[in-house]
Amino acid sequence: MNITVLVGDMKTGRTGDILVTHALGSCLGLMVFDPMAKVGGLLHAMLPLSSINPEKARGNPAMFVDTGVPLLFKSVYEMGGAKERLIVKAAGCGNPMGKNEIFKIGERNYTVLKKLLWKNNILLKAESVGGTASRTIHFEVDTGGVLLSCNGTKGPL
Amino acid sequence: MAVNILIVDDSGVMRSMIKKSMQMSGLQIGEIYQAANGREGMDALDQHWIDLVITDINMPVMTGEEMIGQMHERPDLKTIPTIVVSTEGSQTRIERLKTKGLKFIHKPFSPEKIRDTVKDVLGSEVFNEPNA
Amino acid sequence: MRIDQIGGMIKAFPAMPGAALKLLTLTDAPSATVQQIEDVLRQDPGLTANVLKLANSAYFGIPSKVGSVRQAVMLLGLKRLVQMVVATCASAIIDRGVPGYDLPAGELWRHSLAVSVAAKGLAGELKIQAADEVFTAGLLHDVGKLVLGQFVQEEYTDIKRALAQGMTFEAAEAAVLGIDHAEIGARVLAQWSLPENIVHAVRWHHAPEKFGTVDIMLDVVHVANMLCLMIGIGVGREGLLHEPSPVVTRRLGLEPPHLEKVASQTLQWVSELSQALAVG
Repeated sequence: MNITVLVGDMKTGRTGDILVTHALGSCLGLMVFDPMAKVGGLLHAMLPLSSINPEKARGNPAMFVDTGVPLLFKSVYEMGGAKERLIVKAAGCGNPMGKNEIFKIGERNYTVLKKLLWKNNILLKAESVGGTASRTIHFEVDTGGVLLSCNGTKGPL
Repeated sequence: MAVNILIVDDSGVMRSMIKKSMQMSGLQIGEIYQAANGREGMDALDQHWIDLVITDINMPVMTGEEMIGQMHERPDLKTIPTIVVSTEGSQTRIERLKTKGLKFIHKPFSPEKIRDTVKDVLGSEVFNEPNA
Repeated sequence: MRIDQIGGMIKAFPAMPGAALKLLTLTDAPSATVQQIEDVLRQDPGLTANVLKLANSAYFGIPSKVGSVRQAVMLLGLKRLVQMVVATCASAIIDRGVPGYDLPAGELWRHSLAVSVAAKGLAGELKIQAADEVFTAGLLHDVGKLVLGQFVQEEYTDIKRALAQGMTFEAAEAAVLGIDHAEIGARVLAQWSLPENIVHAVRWHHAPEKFGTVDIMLDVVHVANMLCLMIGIGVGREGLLHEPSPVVTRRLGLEPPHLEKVASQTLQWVSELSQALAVG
């Protein structure tokens, strides 16, 4: 079944589910997949740190990378996923043109993600991040296959 | 098949980071040896069986380039796969190293980059799935 | 000739209801009276009914029932009321898909709402006085896409080629089609006789530095637009192929926390406002 993940949202799924999210501009799309348990999750996080709006983070942890990523992993563990088996892929974190650092929310999202992964001894299997394109993801939980649309071209991630 | 690694860098922090990256990468690791400069690196190569060398360039006492030069003069050391991890900006120097058959990673690096380069150099048989 | 085609489409662009335009002009006038508002609305009973429905919607949280325009103006304030009227009228015009920009039905309208609320939110966050019209400017900033969409679609191969040279999306529009969506939008709004500051804000919303004068409202719309695209609202074919102005950033004293704080609230503001407008 097709499950849509909106901005500031996180959903998990099992065999037969396809997790979909659109318009990953500067947002982070993070996919986690356990190939043995055949469970997975997709996070669409908007902003890097929850400290910018703690009240919002309490109600919607998936909006921030630093609260959304732990939530994603926890949710997948609860479904039977095991940390040593997890395959993790990232997409999004785009930035506008020019050198205006203030607007590089995508870069900041990516940095926070990498810090979290490093702290937890997790490496990314694959990534499609940065640039100015808006990305769309179709994540098939059965196979762990990820179809990425980027700049009008579709391909596996 | 477990791989013995030698990490050569004058920064202890950097050596820890590289070591941790290797441990995260899914590589089947035997022993990890560390050296703070090229001289110590040569000593380690003399004392232990090493399958992979990861080295910085700019170090006191003996640079990475000098160490590699010495390694290449020894029949028992010249075939050891070597990866250079450096802030080195000089394109000529980088090219020189590459012509010697070395892989070059620019600092700051991502752990995924180190994993992918090691996989390139050693092949995927020495990695555990699924993170390889 | 394409440029004539475009000109024709601008001329034929649907008009904003007269009552809404008159109300907008009234808000500009410092001495506008409730009587004048009532007179304008009396000529459009449908609009009056909408105004009352809006005033009574949960969005405004007014405890007692609002039964007259006079009451609505007192309780909402004239400016707020007019903004809601303009939003209601604009939705009829803007709320459709624009395939040329890869914007499905509803997305351009959602983006327009988002920019208007983000612009207001940004002004609040920066503690600056932007003109009240910033809401309206934000709401109408992309009407030009409704005209240019089909041409973007037709000439997309050439536009891609122009983009490959490293220019922004609106620059590619101008290079290939002779005009960009900001300029078209400005012409439409000028046609509607909207106040000049709104027309300018729309004209230069991608390139504020090209406008000869410093205009806080324009600056805020520029930033709000970029922000909404980044968080994925209304980001179609153009992606993030725009350049946020460093001059504007400096002028506004903009820092990452300002942007991120506003971003964290934008979706909620959009949702609340959409619900309020859906009532009407």
